[in-house]
Amino acid sequence: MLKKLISQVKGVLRMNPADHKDSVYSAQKFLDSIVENIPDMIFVKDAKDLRFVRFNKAGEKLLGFDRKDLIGKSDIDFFPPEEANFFIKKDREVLMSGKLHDIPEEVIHTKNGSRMLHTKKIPIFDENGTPQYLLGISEDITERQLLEGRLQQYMQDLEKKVRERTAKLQEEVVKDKALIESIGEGFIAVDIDQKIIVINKLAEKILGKDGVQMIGTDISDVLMLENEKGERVPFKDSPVALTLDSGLQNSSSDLFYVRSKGNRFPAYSTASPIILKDKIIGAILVFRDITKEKEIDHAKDEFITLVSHELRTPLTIASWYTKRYLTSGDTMGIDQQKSYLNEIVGAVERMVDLVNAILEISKIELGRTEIKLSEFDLAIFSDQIISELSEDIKKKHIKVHKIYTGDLNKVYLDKKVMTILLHNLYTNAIRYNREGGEINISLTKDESGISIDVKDSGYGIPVSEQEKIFTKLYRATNAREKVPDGTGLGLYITKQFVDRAGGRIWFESEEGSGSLFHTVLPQGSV
Amino acid sequence: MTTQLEQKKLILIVEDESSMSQILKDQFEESGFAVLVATDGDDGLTKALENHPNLILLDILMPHTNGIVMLKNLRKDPWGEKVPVVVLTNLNDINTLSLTLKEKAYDYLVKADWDLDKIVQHVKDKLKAMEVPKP
Repeated sequence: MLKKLISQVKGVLRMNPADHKDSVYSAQKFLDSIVENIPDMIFVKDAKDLRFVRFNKAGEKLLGFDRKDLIGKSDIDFFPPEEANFFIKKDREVLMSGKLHDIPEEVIHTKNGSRMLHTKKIPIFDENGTPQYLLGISEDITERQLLEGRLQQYMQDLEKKVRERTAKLQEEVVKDKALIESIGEGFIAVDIDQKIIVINKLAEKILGKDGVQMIGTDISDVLMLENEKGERVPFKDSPVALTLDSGLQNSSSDLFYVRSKGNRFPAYSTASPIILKDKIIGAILVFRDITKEKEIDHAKDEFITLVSHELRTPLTIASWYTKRYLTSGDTMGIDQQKSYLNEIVGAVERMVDLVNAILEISKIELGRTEIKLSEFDLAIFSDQIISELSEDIKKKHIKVHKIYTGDLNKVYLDKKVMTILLHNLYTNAIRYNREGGEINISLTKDESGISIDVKDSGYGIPVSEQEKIFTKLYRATNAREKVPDGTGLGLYITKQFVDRAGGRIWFESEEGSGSLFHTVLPQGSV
Repeated sequence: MTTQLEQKKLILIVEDESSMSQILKDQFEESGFAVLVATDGDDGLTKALENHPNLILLDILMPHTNGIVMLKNLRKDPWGEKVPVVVLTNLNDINTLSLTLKEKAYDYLVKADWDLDKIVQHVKDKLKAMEVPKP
């Protein structure tokens, strides 16, 4: 369009005015109307002194001057000197070079404030090639630039927001992952088609499988379940399947998970639905290996069974002897009557011992045993316990030898621990001793603490059973045989108390020639 | 003496607690039975195979050889396979019960729940039921 216009102008300029008066006139009018209606500023300066010779409507509007105020004037008359000189310099360059100059951005100060223009300046030559005019076409790009600037700002803001949001999302993903990893249980999330979407490290470890390989696989191919008897449990009966089916939480503590290597473990599992907009989209399975809990449960059950047995035995004896005494006592001789009553008393005493021992144990196991140190005379203390047992000692014709060494009149210990310790050791030494046997008691106080050695000449402990001797409810076979009414709790309780007091108890024993129990207790400071 | 033993049914009591075996012996003898006492599973098996009692009253928790082991060994003997065994124990748990049932000891009495006269009556009823000839 611009080229066409220029060639038309050139054509008109080349014409002979006399010959083409009419066509010149009509071409002039056509040219005027085109120039007038171009929305960019069009101006023409004469090449000699750079005064405006032509101006269009868009130019008037842009500069805020009427064209009659512009024609014949130069840039000096409208713009600040610096700006005007810049324009003039540019104009000269264009005329000198004879080529079109493109000025992508130039600022001009108009009546309506400063504007940004994109200007093209073109030299117009006469037939001899001498520049006659300078044609300028300026597009007002102020608004566009403003828009572009805003757009750029907007883009930058947007990019910044995207970057921030991405970082936040990444952080959340990392956080979620950390959260899932730090759950102290196996964690598997599945979608509605039972495909694994998330699995934590602990689940991999418990199942003994590689998590990356499991992602995307059907959970029923990964979790092999069995019941207690070792029979396969179909996956449809697993908590995950039940939850996906019902949308409700499901738990189970009697399932066994089969590991890849073929071994299995009991597990506590809970499956919870993942619900999005009232629709089940998957499930989360949380599980843990409860082998230890099961073992503890089993040990507890066993303890209860044995304690019940031990409690029922004296109760049964007391009940049977009492009832038989009531029905047949009249026909019994005085000796038989006495022996019956002795059986009853013995059974009741055995019950009392057992109940006390069980209460002691429950205190130990609940952690309600406090060590309270006090100062006392250990020699007197030991003699008191021996005198309490004097009747049993006499009955079995046992000789007791005591060796008390060191400053025993001032010891700083827990009296309760000492009562349980000495009573149990002395009683055992009497009970499991032979008729007319010996007991050697040695109490020593030195820098390392208090040492208590109790040696008997009794039945001893069979080597095969020695490691179980401090176990709850355990009684050596020869002890059971010779003395049926023990509780099997004395040494267990003793060891528990000695341990709690920071001491140590152990023994040497040979079946048939007796046992030697050593105890060392730290001395408390006064 | 021999004629008396022939008339009286012989009961073998296998029980480690002397207080228990003594009063059971008293009660059974008073009710017209002959009684043998064994103090553990080994002793019980020997006395059972030697004397062929009509019925065995068997405790479970005993030193050396317990009641379950004795029962298993007893059932290996052609005579012992068929002798009626009444388990008399204070061990009240389902595992022990199922173990004794497996060894064809179908009576499981928890001592604390049974009075002496009821135990004797139960033994009498059991022996009587065995006497009924099979049609």
